Formats: sequence, C-alpha cells, structure tokens
Amino acid sequence: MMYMTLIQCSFKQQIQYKWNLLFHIIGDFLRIYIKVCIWKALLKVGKGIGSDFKSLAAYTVLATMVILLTKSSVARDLADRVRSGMIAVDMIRPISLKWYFFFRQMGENLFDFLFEGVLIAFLSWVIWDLPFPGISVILPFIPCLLAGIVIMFYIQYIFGLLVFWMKDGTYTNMITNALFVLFSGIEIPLWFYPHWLRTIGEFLPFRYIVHEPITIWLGQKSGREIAMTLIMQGFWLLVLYLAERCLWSFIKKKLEIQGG
Amino acid sequence: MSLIEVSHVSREFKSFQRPEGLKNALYTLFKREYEYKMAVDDVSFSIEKGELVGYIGPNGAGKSTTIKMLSGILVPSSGTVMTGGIVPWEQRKKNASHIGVVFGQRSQLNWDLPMEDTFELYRRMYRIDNKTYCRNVDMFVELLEMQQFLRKPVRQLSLGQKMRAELAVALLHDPSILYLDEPTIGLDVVVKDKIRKFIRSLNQEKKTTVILTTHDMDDIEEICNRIIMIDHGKLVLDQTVHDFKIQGTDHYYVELSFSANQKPLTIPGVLMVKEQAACHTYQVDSAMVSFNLLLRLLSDSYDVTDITINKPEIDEIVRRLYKRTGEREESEKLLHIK
Repeated sequence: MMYMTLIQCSFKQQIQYKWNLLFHIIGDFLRIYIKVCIWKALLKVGKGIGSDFKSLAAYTVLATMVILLTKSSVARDLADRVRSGMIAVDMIRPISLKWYFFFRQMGENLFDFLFEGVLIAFLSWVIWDLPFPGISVILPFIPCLLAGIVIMFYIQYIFGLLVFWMKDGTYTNMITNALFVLFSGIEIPLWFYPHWLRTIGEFLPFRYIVHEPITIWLGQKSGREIAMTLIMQGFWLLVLYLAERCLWSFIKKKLEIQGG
Repeated sequence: MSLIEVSHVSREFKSFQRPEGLKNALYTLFKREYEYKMAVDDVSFSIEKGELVGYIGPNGAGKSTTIKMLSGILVPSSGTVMTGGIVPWEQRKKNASHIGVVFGQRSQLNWDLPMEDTFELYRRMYRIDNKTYCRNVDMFVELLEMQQFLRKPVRQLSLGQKMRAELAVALLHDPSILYLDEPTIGLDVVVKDKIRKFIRSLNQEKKTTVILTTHDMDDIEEICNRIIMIDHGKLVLDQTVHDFKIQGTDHYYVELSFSANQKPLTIPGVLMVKEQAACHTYQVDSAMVSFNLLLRLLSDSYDVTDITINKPEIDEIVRRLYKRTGEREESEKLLHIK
C-alpha cells in the first residue's frame, strides 16, 4: 500500500517537468531511428549475417523499452546520500531502504514507460510494420521482463551499497554500466558476439535483463529454453538477494554517518 | 524502567589525516595510520516518559552522534541503549515507528511535492490509522499555521515554513520520543517562538518525550526542564534547568542609568563590566556585597535615573562551563608536554 503511494508520488513528481518529457521522447525516438537505419545499412552490405531487418528493428525498439523500465539511479543516489549524510533521514523511517528506493524508481520508470515508451513503441511498430507476437509468447515474456528489472535493480543497489566503504561511487558505477552495456545486449544482440565473449556473458547476470526477455518476444526460444531462462533468473535473484543481505548486515555494524 | 536508558555508551570514529608532502601522501595508499577519536565516551543517563531534555555541548561534542545512536542508525562501539524496551539499532524499523526525528540541517520532505502528498506518504509508511491521521493533521496544521502552504511544492517554501513542515511530518504517527537536532537553526524570532510553543503544548497534550540539541539557550529556557551537557564526548552535567540556573545566582547584574556621577564604584565584589555614556553595568557578587550596602553606595556616588537588576541567563552559565572545560583541556595539554 505504501509502495503504491510511493509510486504515485514519483508520478506526480515527474509530471511537474513536462518539457523534460517532450525532449526525452524526441531524443529516444531519434536514437531508435538512427540505430534502425544503421542495421538497415549493415544488412545491405553484409549478406547472410543471419538476421532479418524486422527482428533487428524490433530488438532495437524493445531494448529501448527495457532501458526505460530498468534504468535506475539508485547507485548514484545512494552514493550522494551517504556522502552528504542524508542517508540518516532514510534510515529513521520504519521501512526497508532497498524497497523504498526500488519503488520510487519504479514510479519514475513506469511514468516514462507509459507516457514516452508506449508512444515510441507504437510509432515504431507502425513505421517499420513490425510483427506482434501471440499470447503464448507474451505470457512468459512478462515474468521474464519483470525478473530482469529486479535483477538490474539488485545489481545497482549492491554496487551502490559499496559506497559505505569507498565514500565515493563514481567508479563502481562506471564499471557496472560498462559491464551492463557489454553483456546485457542492450546495444547489439548477443548473437553477433564472438564465441568467447558470449561464453563470458553466459556466466554473468546481465544478459537476463535485456537479451533474454527480447529473444523470448522475438520467438527465438523454445518452451524448454524459456523455462530454463526463467529458472536461471530465479537463480540469479537468489544469489543477488543473499549477497545483498550479507552486505547489509555487515554495513549495519560498520555504519558511519557523515556530518554533524 | 525508564523510557530511555543509556549506559556506558561509547562510540569511536576512525579518522585518517593526510600527512604533508607528496611522498608521504603516496605512502598512505599502501599503509595508513588511523587516528581513533572518541566521539562519545562512556556516557550514561536515563530519561523518563514526558521529560523535556535539552542536550547541549559545544560544536563537535558528540551530540549528534548520541542522537544517531538513540535513533538506531549508528551502532555504539560499546555500552547499551534501550529506548522503549528495545535496542534501537537491532530493531531499527520497530524503533523508527515509535520515534520522530527532525534534523535541523537535513530535510526529509520531498522537494518537488506539496506537504499534502508527503503527509499521505507518511501515513502509509507508518501505517497510521485514519482517525489519528486526520486528528493530527488538523492539529498540526492549526498549531503550526500551515494552511497557506499546504499545497505548495516544498521547494517554494521558506526555511521557517519548511521547518514547521518537518516537525509535522516527524510527529504524524504520534511518536513517544521526539529527537530534535537543532530544530531552530537559522530561523527568525517569530518562527522560533511558534516552534517552541508547539513543542510545549505537544508535550502537555501527548506526553511526548523530547530530546533536543541546540546552541540557542532560549530553546532550553523555553522548552526544557532538564539539561544534559556533554563535551569532548564526556558527560559533563545532568541537572534540572532550575538547579542549573541556581549555579548562576552567586552573582547578578546591575545596570543603572544616571544623570550625574561622582566616582565609579570600587569596592571588592563589585565589578564594572560595561561603561557607556550615561549607563554603567556592574557585576555584583552577592556573597560579598549585601544588597542594602550596594543601594547605599549607589545613591552616594550616582544620581540614579533608572536601575535594572538581571540574573545571569542560561547562556552565560553555559559559556562559563564551555570555557572551563576548554581551559581544563589546555592545562591537560600543558601537563602532557611537561
């Protein structure tokens, strides 16, 4: 219940900045358009790279939707708040720090998705005449996407917590972002990667955030593979959950709050 | 058992000082020597329900550190704290639901949203039932005169309005303990007064226990009935405000305006502290000079037009105490050198 109000608050907060929204829409759409054009050009030159234009365009649009839903400033926020000592204010509330940050972020993301993402997706679908998958694909796609969102948040949150030691979060953020861009498939579908790079990616959680949900949507996975993906996501969620708990109980003992 | 029990609590902080010179600074990348500083050093006290306690001390004395330990966001290095029967840092969330905290220098309001929305969020967060919520909102809006700015985004509020809003938000869930960390910092006289009156009436109506840190001794004078003072992390004093003020009664101030003056008073126990054109102020030691004698002397040497007698304010007593601990430290340092 409280978390719904938190999402509402985020919503109301976002609405105040209506010009932001407009520029966000234009910017994101341009980015999609450019990427799709690049794919088109590449497909003309390099014959037989094993992908058709429509799935690449759909992949690009979906990846943007996933970014909208998974983007999270928790690592930076935590770093700022720990550095300034504002974290004290968050800690005197009878709520979990983690879920507080999560739902506030979700409010923001949902807003972006509903007011920006849906419009962009609709435009793209019309312009490039993309196919829409059947219900049997969408049903497993949704839990897979949601799990991906939570995985992404956990990763960001865990790296954010490191700031309690490091007192500065700039470089841990850079590392997570770099790993995310490289291994999640957000820019280029992982099937274009060389074998060795893909193998490394197999052992990291990032691909379950973007690449796996999208390939489900594109209908490239059999029922068995889908089940396997969901299981792996569950596994990663468990690992991340345990890591976060360990870290948190350690921080609780060590906690130092800056400033008078 | 008391509502708040603090026994032998210490907290040390590790701090690292960068040495001079590039070479030494580079060396610290590999090996660092830390300095351990006791922010709070073996402090004990207990506070009963409904007390209004002023927690004072010079800057850096360890006041905020104590508040943080009491509110469960900092774990002491040693010692125990119990507030309302629980150890605050072990059950942070449970503790949080029966305390209210206002940090004068940190806002817990959402910058972009009006107060109404923040109230609503806190209602959910603390699971406040409808009746209590409505009653409290009505009461706070009225007492703190918040009607005009309830709907404005917080970023547009003045500091005084914001501080009133902070108080209301911290008290929405009827906490049994209220921690105020410099609540009147930077506020004008009118708002200060509003806030002080509000805290008083809150205490009367709801028996809320209040612990307040401040540098403004008028806050203590007007809100508190007990003073706890720490300095360099150590408890220096724990008294009722009444007893505290008695310390100052060994002397008083006489400020007199006059039309003509033969000679200034020069007897032991009477000391001129301020000399202005037609106004002299003396500090009088009440043990050494009787009041009758003083009056006689005054009428002998002055043509008095007006006379005012002042007792020392808390402010002055505190200043003396701070200075004394400062001096003690100086002398300790000297001993150390020898």
